[in-house]
Amino acid sequence: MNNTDRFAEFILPPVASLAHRGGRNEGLTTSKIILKAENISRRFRSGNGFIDVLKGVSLEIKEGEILSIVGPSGAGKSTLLHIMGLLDKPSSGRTLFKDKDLYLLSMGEQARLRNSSFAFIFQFYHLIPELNILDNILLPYMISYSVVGWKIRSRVLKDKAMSLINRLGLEHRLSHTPGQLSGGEQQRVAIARALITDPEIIFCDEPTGNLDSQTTSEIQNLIVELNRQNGKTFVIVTHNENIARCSHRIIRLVDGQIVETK
Amino acid sequence: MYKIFLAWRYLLSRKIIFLAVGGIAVGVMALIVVTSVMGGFSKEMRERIRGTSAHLNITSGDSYFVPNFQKVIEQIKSTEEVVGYAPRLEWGALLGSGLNFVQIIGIEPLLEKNVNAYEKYLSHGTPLEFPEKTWNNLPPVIIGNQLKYDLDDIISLTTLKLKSGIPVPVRQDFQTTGKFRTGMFEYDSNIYIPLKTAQDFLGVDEGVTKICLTIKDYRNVESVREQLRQKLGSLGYFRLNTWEEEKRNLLRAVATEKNINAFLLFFIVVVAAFNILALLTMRVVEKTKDIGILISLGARPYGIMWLFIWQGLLVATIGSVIGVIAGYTLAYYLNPIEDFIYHRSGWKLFPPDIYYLEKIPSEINYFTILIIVIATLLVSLLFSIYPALKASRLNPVDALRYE
Repeated sequence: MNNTDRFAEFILPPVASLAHRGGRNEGLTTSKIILKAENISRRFRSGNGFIDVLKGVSLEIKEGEILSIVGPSGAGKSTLLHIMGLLDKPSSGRTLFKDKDLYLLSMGEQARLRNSSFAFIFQFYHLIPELNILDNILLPYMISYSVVGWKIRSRVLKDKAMSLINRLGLEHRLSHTPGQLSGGEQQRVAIARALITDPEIIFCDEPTGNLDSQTTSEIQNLIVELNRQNGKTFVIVTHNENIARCSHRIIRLVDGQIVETK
Repeated sequence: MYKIFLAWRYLLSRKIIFLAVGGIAVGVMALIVVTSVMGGFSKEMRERIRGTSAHLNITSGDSYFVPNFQKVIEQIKSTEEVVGYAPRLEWGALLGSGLNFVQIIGIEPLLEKNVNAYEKYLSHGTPLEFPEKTWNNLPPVIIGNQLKYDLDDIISLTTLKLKSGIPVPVRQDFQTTGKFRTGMFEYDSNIYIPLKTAQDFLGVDEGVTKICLTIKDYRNVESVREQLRQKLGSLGYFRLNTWEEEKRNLLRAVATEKNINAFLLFFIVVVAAFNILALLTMRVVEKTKDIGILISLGARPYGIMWLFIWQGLLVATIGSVIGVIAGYTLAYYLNPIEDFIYHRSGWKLFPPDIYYLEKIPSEINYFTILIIVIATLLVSLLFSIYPALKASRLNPVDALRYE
């Protein structure tokens, strides 16, 4: 049993890997919209002029779906992901999460959403190099808890993180820092960190862009299984056709506009 | 909770941060040692000033001499709280043939002993008393050791005495029968002569310029002053000053010297705090990507700001703790350390013949240490704010892309 299977077994009961079946994910049963982007535009200053990276993009993300955003480099995929994930602000348009306009929320409410409802998985893992695996995974909780709250809850939270680490097969790397792990191991730690707060939407920015084909396949399986069994919503920016094929819907973005939805 | 935790991890990850810790520690240590020595020195000076001064001094408010001198003495004697009094005649004179101005003080030695600890500062084993007769029949004087005369030397004093309201120069020879030193120039250039001799020299029968008093409990000085003011009201116009009021300028000078030293030395701490500013600014650049990660995980700009402020405060706290321990130890064992250096190198750090002190005075004041630590933390906080604000204003997307 490889590490990904062990992880999936912990998160959910064992099922056959979708990636091994090689087909589209068509198991979405809900039609409830969790996130809605309306007419999103994003303009950046460039020298003396401006560049319009997004030009009135509108899309709806359903609860429990895997949505892939594909397109050529510079099409605005990551910018759209950042705007939907509250890391960037649109120049115009609005983003609704459960019918709430995200950019009308206070800074504190936005931070709370990023901490507990949203999660990010990045291409370059983005782990804190000074912290070991356990502390990296616990970091979202450390951010949300006060010192007193942490003292009270730390044992339970550490147990939760330890279970994740054990299921990831990284228990022998417990005291290791990210620099001492392989790319695949680092990405598994990043996934565990994204999952620990039980978020509603997981935004993935090229999650396998820096991994070999074997590890890419493992991560891809993991995403699909998490979606099928736990109903996690994934928004994935990718160039990888296999990952795109495993999603419920694919949006193709070219030159800041949606040109195709499959 | 992540702010202190991560700040601590960040500090431990870079050895260069210990330079900033060392800078703060050296600054705090220097401040504690210098303020302790200056505090000890200031206390010693105050003791000396106090030792050679009376609690309360009565002078005339509108003339050189105390009016109704004998009646004033009677009123003083009838005041319960007053335990000693001594009349003085203080006047200016020129010493020798040059323009060497000195203060001559006519005293009654037996009474003078009751109003100050002057005798403590006498040297050459001479008690505070004048012989009945000197070997060449000249009037006796006791001189401060700033005056370059030896025992049994003959000195010549020239002054102006008032004859029918007109000043007339007079000159007289005296013989030194005692010397004293207090370590303070202001006192060590005075000349003490018997009161009667001084009155004859100036041609003022029973004239005194000041009456010095000792009070049973100095804390009651204000009530005694008020009592005397009422009693003496009908006898003339008098000034009643405490020793602190009389020596206000000198005391202020000593305190000012202490404060100026502390102020100047505090710049060591300021320079060390600049290290914190530089290191934190560098850390913000180094940790740009981490800032983006933390924001993506739900950290607020305010939290990012405190993450860096905590780093500055941790450096300052560790530096202050080390500085307090080192400074306290150094101030406490200053004299053994000085002895050690002297025995090893032959270099005397604090020559006793300059200040007339057998050892380096050092008074460790815990309140001063507390002030030093608080000031150090505040300055470090101030210097941490700029890089911390810079960190908190980073755009998370740009931060995540930073390489």
